Parts: sequence; C-alpha cells; structure tokens
Amino acid sequence: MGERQSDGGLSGRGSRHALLDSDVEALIIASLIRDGVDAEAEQRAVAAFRAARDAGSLGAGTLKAGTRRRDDWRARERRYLGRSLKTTLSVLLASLTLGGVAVAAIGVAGSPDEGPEDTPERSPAPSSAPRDPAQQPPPRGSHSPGTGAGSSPAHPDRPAPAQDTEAHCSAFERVGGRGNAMDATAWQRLVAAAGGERNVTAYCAEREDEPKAGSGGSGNDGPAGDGGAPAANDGADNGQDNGAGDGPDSGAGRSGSEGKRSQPEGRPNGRQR
Amino acid sequence: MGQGTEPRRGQAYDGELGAAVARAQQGDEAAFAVAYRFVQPGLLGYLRGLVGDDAEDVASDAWLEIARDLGRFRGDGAGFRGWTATIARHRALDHLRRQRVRPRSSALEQDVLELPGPQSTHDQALEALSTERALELVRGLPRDQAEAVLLRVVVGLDGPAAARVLGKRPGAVRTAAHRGLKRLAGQLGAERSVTDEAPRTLGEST
Repeated sequence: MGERQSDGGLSGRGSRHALLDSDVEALIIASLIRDGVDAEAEQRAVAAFRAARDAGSLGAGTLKAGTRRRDDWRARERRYLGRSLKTTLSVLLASLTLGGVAVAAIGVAGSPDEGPEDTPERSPAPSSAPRDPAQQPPPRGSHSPGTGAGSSPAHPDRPAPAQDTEAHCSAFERVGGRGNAMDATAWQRLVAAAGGERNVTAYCAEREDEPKAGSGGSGNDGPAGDGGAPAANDGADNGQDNGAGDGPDSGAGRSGSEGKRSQPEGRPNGRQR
Repeated sequence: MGQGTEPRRGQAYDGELGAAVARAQQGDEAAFAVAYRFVQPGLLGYLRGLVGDDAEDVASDAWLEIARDLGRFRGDGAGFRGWTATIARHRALDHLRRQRVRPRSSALEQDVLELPGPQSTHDQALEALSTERALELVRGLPRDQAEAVLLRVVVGLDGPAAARVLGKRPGAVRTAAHRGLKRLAGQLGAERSVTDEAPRTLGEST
C-alpha cells in the first residue's frame, strides 16, 4: 500500500482515483486476514484431529481406500487427464473417419483399370477394415471405370496409400506431431510409409507440398507419391462417369459415405449421386 | 486479475504446508497444528467474506470435518488449501441456508460515503478504511464476484483451484474476480476521491 501513486501519471479525476488491483488486493488482505490464530480454536481443531486419528480415520485402510474425487487435489495435470483423453479419442475417431472416407473414396474414384499389372509390389499398402468386404471380385476386365470400386482382388488396397497417407498426415498434424496420440495403426502406417518415426514430419510436409492430386489413388508405379497424375485422371474419368463431379477431390469426404456404402457392394458408380 | 501467475498469498509456504499435511496424515498431531496455523487465517478471511461475524463458528465446524476427513485427502499444500476451502465453503453455505441470510448486504452505497476525516492523505484514507468497511464492500459484491475475489486474494488459490472450489469454469471465475476487483477499486476510489481535498503530493496533474 505504500506505492500509492502508481496511477499518478494519469490525469483526470477518474483515473486519479482509480486503484490498482494490487492495491485492492492488499486492502482486502489487510482487512480480512488477521495473522495469528485463536489458540482456543486451534485447540478444538487439534482435539478433533486427535479424536479422528484415535478412531482410526487416518489409518492405512482409509489411506488406501478409494479416493473420492472431491478429496483428490493432486497436481492439476491429473485432473486434465480426462480432458486430454477425450481430445485424443476424438482425434482418433476423426482420423479413423477420415481414413475410412479416404479409402472408400479412393475405391470409388481411384483404382480399377489403371494397370494393376504393373504394381503388384504396392499391395502391402494399408488395408483398413472398411475395404475388406470389397474384395469380392467383380469380373475384371468387363468393368467400366465405375464397376471397380477398387475391387480388383489382386490389388484391393493399391489405391489407398496416397490418400491414406494424406489422412494420416493430417491426423498427425492435428495431434500436434505427437504420433502416439494418433490411432496406433494409422501411426504405424505413417511411420512405415515415411521410413521411420523421425521422417514422418518431413514426409508429411513433402506430401503436402505436392499438388493435390485429387483422389490421388497411388497409381501404378512405385512410391505412393508418384501416382498423383494417373490417379487424378482416374478420378476425372470417374467423375465424368458419375456425372456428378465427384471427380478428383472426391476423397475429401464429400462422397465418403456413398463411397463406403457403395464399395463393399460393388455398386456401379453410375448409381451414385 | 490478468496477472494470474503472480505469487499469491499462501503460495510461499505451500511446501511446508504440504509436508505438515503429510505428517498429519501419518498421525502427527503437532504437524496438524502447523497446518492449521498455515491455513486458518486465509480460511477465516474467506469465511468472514461469506458469513461475516459467524466466520469463527463456521470455521470451527469446517475444521471438525477437515480433521475427520484428513485421511482421505490427496494432494500437496496448494491442494490442501483448495480442499479446506471447499469444506469451509460448504459449511458456510449450510450456515447461510440455515439462517436464510444472504451473504450480501444492501445499503452499501450510503456506507461508502461515510468518510474519514477531511485531512486524510490517500494512504491515511486507505488505512482509515476500517476492516468493517472493507468487509462490507466485499460482501456487497455479487456473490460470485465476492467469492472469486476472496478465494484468489485471501485464500490464495490459483484460478483453476478457485474454479474447482466454486464448481465453475476457470474462465468464469477469472472474469468474476476481475469484475469484483474493479468494482471494489471503483468504490474505494470513490471514497478516496472525497478525501482528496487534502493537498496531493504525488500524481497531481492540475
């Protein structure tokens, strides 16, 4: 309360009389807090403590007993655990959804008649659950671009990696680059695709820099990144076939549910909106 | 109240307090007394703001409960202040309910105009502000503001802890504390302005 004039530089009555928060706080403290405690009251409290202790309320049993939340005032981080868990879960859910959408959309837009012939080595690509029912082989060769829905049995997963990777990368970004906050499977795939945990950030950045190749079915040849152009063509073709313009970007989630639905059933694209 | 990181009352001895609480939980009576002496002044100040003259009685009730439940408590010194404040608050609210007394009084505007002597300097004006007056001013705040101010300033809780005691979001408590302090500052400043007839020594601009 000594340095009263901290507001002295200001002019005008209003500001001149304004008090700083610290002044007010000091005043409140001075007014409401008396140092020292009433000995008699302290004795009562200690007596209560003694009684409780002697009645066993401090015993090991009590200490070990389940802690009621209202008695748990341990460090704040613990209390935020719940929230961060929630965050993690929702991120995980989002990445799963995105991944599924991406995969399904690729199935719709991406794959079929780009020569599976030259990419057998791509098959280790991610095969996430929603895709699997798609493996009922539609007769290959007879397909319009639409029939496929990505279901060539030999390469059911082939088109997925690029977009999968995109989804994983964006999930990775959303969790602030902490891979362990991601869905474990997605994270492992991302690591595998990048060739090591340490490369993931660079890998994702690299991919982000690439022109968005639309549905980016990873195309035929070689590393996922190279497939952009052909896949885009696929997508465009598809889009035309669909007549709905679901073309190159269909992976982004517009047609996600349709993709998911249509794919396992091998429904021709033409039936989709 | 934007500067939520500044050390607040109570935080200086939280280490010692935590150690005393831990020993008390092992049955150390003297340690319990130490913890009591650390906590009681702030707790009592908070209760004064809530229930006025009945604060001592309510505090006694609270300490009975604190002693009884000490074995259940988990946390450090800062946590202990929050935990005890929660218990004291519940006792205070029970008390108020029983009495059907609102924690805020009315008719403060007139009180504010009661003045120290006209010759007071600013410091004297503040010092002349009696405990009763400050208490009235605090209790004249809307209760959410009064409690937020008291928990943060008098008990020395940080924002999240104060919010937990009150069962509110930290942002709401921060806002309430801020508004409460501003309002008090305005009221105190108004009191001060009437005493400003005395020559100013600093900050004079006219």
